[in-house]
Amino acid sequence: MRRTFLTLIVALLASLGFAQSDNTLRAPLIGDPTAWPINPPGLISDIMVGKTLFNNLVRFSFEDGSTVVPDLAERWEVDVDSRVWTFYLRDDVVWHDGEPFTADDVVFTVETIRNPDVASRWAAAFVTLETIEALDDHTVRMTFEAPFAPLLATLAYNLAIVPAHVLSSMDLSVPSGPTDFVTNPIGTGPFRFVEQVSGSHFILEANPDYFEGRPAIDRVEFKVVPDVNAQVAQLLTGELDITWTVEPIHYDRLAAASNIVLGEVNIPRFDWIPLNNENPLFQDARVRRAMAHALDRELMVQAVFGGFGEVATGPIPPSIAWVPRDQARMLDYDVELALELFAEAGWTRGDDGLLRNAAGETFRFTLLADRGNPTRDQVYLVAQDAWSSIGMDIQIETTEWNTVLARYREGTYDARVGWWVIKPDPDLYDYFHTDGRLNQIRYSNAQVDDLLERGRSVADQDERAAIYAELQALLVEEQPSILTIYPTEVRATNTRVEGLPDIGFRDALTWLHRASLR
Amino acid sequence: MPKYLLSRLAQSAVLVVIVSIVMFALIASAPGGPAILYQEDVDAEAAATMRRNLGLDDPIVVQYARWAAALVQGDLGTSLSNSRPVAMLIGQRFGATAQLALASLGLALVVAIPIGVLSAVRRNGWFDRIATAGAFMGVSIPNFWLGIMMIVLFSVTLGWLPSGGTGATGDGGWLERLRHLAMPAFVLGTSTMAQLTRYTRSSMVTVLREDFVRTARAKGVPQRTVLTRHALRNGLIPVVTVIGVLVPRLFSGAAITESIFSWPGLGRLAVDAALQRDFPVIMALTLVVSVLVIVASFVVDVLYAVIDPRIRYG
Repeated sequence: MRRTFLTLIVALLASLGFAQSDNTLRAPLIGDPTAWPINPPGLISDIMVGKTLFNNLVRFSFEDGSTVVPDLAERWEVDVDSRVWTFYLRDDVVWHDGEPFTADDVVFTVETIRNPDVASRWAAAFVTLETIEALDDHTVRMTFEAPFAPLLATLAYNLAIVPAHVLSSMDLSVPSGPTDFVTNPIGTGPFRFVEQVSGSHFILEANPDYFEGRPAIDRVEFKVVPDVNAQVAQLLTGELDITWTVEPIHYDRLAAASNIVLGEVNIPRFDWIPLNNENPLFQDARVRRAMAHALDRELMVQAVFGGFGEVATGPIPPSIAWVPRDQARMLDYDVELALELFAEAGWTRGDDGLLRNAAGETFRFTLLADRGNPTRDQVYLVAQDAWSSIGMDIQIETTEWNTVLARYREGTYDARVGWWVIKPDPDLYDYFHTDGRLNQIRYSNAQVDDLLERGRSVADQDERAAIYAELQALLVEEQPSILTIYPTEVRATNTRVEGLPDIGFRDALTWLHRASLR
Repeated sequence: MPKYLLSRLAQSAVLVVIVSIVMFALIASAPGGPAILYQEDVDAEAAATMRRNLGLDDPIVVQYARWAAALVQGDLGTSLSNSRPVAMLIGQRFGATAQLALASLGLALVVAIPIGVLSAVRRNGWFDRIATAGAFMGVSIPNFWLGIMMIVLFSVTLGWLPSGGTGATGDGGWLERLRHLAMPAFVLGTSTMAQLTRYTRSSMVTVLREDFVRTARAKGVPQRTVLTRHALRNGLIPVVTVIGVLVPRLFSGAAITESIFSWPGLGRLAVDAALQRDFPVIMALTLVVSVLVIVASFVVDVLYAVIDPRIRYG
């Protein structure tokens, strides 16, 4: 009886205050994660847990987040014309179930991604792959039809290696992954799966057999906290140790808290207002440039992004530092110039202030919007305001996110607001090439296509840099869609968290085993 | 009674089938489709393959038949969004929802019935006026606002209570869980509390004017006995009806409170599933809620008979 009483008192005392003192890192996710790296069904949450559970062949460095360094492959060779890649794998890696990791797992992973029935979004990386073979237990050779320069960046980006011995007997065509795997995922990563409760948490524990040594943190608790205000509250009370992306409205509150450190990092991301290039309105580059000139993007950086970011010149963000930016011109905010360009393209302002062409039609289009993302919500309004003020006849149509994306893919839209976080490589083939799988802006330009094709087939980095500098400059003049901002990523961490690299959170998570808690 | 029970059961079964057909048709006719097909970086070709693999290219009648056939064998299917068995998703969340729903209802009853009775007895007195003002506030204050304000006060400023989660990942002790439950239960309970206060009050006001109450008083029965033995039993009948309506709502309609407090309940699961067009999850939740409504209204009918001896089911 006395013991029970004592336990009770201790429990009571222990529960007062929440400054966490155990060796558990608590981090938020906006939704239930699914550990299916072959084709992450909900993307961001899935990728985050995947980065701690699995390894890639290579990864981005701790120091700069863009140099490719070894992961499961300890070294690699490429032949002169950049077609044949040989990867030498570590021989001291075991899966979380104790089985050894071998070259067969790599072959299996790539074959799974290439299987059309699996419909993996990463398949585009391997369209020119001729063969992949295991030369021995720890050597893999990939032979491509043509040189593929962005291979390493692609492998480091999101291509996690999965276990052949676990998955080979499962049905891989289920779009969100085989049930038996996602409910008990097996990886090689620094943390292994413990428990998942829907809507609540996804718990991992340190992998004592990790090939770079046991992580310093014992446990990682990914908590499902969909509401960003709630994330901030939990960060302030110490119930969370980190939030990966802080919304501008929360900067001041978090900056003032003594237990929180804010950190700003550059990431490979560009924000833009995609235009449907099949719409006759947007087929004149002068009109598209005029739209960029009419938008005060510097004001947008300050007012919408809280100063965290810079005005975009082209689609290649400055975090890809080896591509020179001096050729690309900045399209300054200049309303008069915008009106001149419109006039050259045949659009002049009438008495009612609206731009009209020779046939008397107004410059009428719809901005397809969704509700929910506070930053995107403001960009719609800023754009509508700026563009209507020079006489464009612009409507905002608000609908559901799914519908926005469906219409974006089908090309039944005029314009929307979006962004891409790309791999840290200027290979923008998917987005701007006529045959690009994500060319939802339906843009087609032979010169751009040629540069994109050359850029991925040349091995020499200096030569690639020159090609992409030219592409960047061309895309500024062409402005196939309105490039707006390169936002930086703002992370907030509890002061007890140490040793996280200052790189984008997706890649920072691949180094979580080096972090520790005070 | 058994005859009544059987006919109620048969009616309910038919109702559930109709509800499931209507729901299936609604989901099928909604624009867009399962969120997994509409990720921004999934191209049209991959989306078409996934659609085929999920069996979504089949006619809607075939899809319904397949779903119903699996259900009859006790299989609720797997989520389109994350491949987890729907039974597992609902199972994991039902406990959290039941805790929150029962705690908020319990809190509401404990507060609302005494206040409602007292308000009726001291009608138009100062207590009644304050209670009425309080009830109107309780109904009018939006949950999201109250929740955020409570978090700011009790978690961020005072540091007394945790701001989110169930406490299941901590030491898991009952005290820890209770501390996590306090704010969400209060926030979810406020409007229930306010509504029940008003219902109890108006019902008691009516009952207190009845002849049998006057007779009891005339016979010299003490006020306390008049209230508890004569008036309250009759006054609670409409209140029980309201509770019957509120219970299913507390189980399924707490999405906002659940979001603010990161509470892993069925309400949030329902909203997410609806937004993601995750039809196996939507269908299963529809069944769960339909059954809850049916059970709750049945329990209410039985309770009538317990409270009011004049009511008998033959």
